Amino acid sequence: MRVECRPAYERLCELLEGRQVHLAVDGEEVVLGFAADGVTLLSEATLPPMAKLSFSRRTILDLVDGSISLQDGIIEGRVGVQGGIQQLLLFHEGWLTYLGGAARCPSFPYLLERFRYATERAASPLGV
Amino acid sequence: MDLMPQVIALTDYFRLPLSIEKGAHRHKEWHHFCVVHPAIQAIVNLSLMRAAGNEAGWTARLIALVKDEGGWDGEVDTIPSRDVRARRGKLDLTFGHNTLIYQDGRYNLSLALESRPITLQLQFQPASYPLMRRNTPIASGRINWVVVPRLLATGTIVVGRRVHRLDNMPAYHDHNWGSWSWGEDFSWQWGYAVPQQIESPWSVVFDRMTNRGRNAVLELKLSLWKNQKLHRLYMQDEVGIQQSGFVTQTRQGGFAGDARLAKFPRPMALLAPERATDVPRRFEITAERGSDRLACRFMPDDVAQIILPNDTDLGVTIINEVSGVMSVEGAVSGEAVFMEGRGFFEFLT
Repeated sequence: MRVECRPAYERLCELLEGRQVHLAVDGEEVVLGFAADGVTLLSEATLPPMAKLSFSRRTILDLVDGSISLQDGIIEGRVGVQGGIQQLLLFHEGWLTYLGGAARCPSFPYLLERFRYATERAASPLGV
Repeated sequence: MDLMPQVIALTDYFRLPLSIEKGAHRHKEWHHFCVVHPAIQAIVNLSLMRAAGNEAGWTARLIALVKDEGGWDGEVDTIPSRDVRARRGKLDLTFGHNTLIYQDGRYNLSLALESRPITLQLQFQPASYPLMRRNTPIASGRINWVVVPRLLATGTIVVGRRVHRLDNMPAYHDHNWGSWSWGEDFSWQWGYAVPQQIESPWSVVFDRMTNRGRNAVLELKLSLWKNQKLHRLYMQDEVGIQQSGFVTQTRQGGFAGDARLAKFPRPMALLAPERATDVPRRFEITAERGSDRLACRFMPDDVAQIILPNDTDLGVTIINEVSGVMSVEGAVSGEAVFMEGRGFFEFLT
């Protein structure tokens, strides 16, 4: 996104500058650190995160495929969101900025297909 | 001698500007087809678009949406530019394995979506002469169009395991091209209806271009065809509209009890998740000139949204594809006009 849709990347960094977001996907945890000049992947949080999100890989695909909305995912407990209201509102704006950038990046459909393939392969009883 | 094939060949071809032509850096062009029947409705759109500042050049998209007893299905496929062949001055389009060719007075469409089990093999036989309009203002740009309001579709549509065989089913076609940016200060309401009875002579097309707030009308037009030919064209002050209510899908359901509004491409629903729309529940158009008068009432019965990334910002433009029933009645030059038909209206948000 930094290369393919710089306005979205810069806006995302500007919005969430100085904050960290904790992500858990199928129990695998990462922390995203936002700074004015970029986003970095951290092995552990160095600040209290502004938001904690948890979901499964399958839920990510269901969101992308329009099978569930983010709202439904939260109500049904498939998407976990924790944080203060003001921080979550700011995070949501960052989330929409990220998605707006993703929709404009030519390489994202390929990344999504790789993610889909890996998810479906992991879910297959034969692993194929 | 039937002049219609020549008239269509001379009007409905790809414009695709040379790079030195004005507006070429943000040229947009598409061919749009619909099948209009209570049992099956289909929307197909093959587009080539350029956004100002996008060095990547043309974006080629194939939209295929089908509504049958299984509800809406379809997707928007983006075609790599290496697989696109379009010739200026012709309608002979290759989008990967998908083709659209105008030949021997018919549009021949062959497509198969990559991401959904949908294929269409259709031949569209024009049943009316086209109407062309040039240089309609659209914010800082211009849009041009050719519309063929009435065609007969024959062929096959396959959705998953459901096979629909079409035999002279009512259909519609338009072709738009011009230079503008998505997200600019414009909106359109565009719609048409064709009769379900092949013997009925009437078909109508409505066009209203406004600013985004819809409080300044840039163009307003109602066109009435009788059989093959344009019969009347009402413009600006001759045309009035009235609308009431808004279509909203609640969690308890909306049209056909479906709680989810169909949105395409599916990932774009994350950017525009709203269930509420500004699509009217009832849309009425009147036209008057001298003793002529027409009253059209469009009653929506379903909506699918096509969501496009804006060129001007990180937001989106939503094209509401609204299917429904239209009744037309009135009198033109002393002749009674009456039609019950189906069609699609586009309400751009």
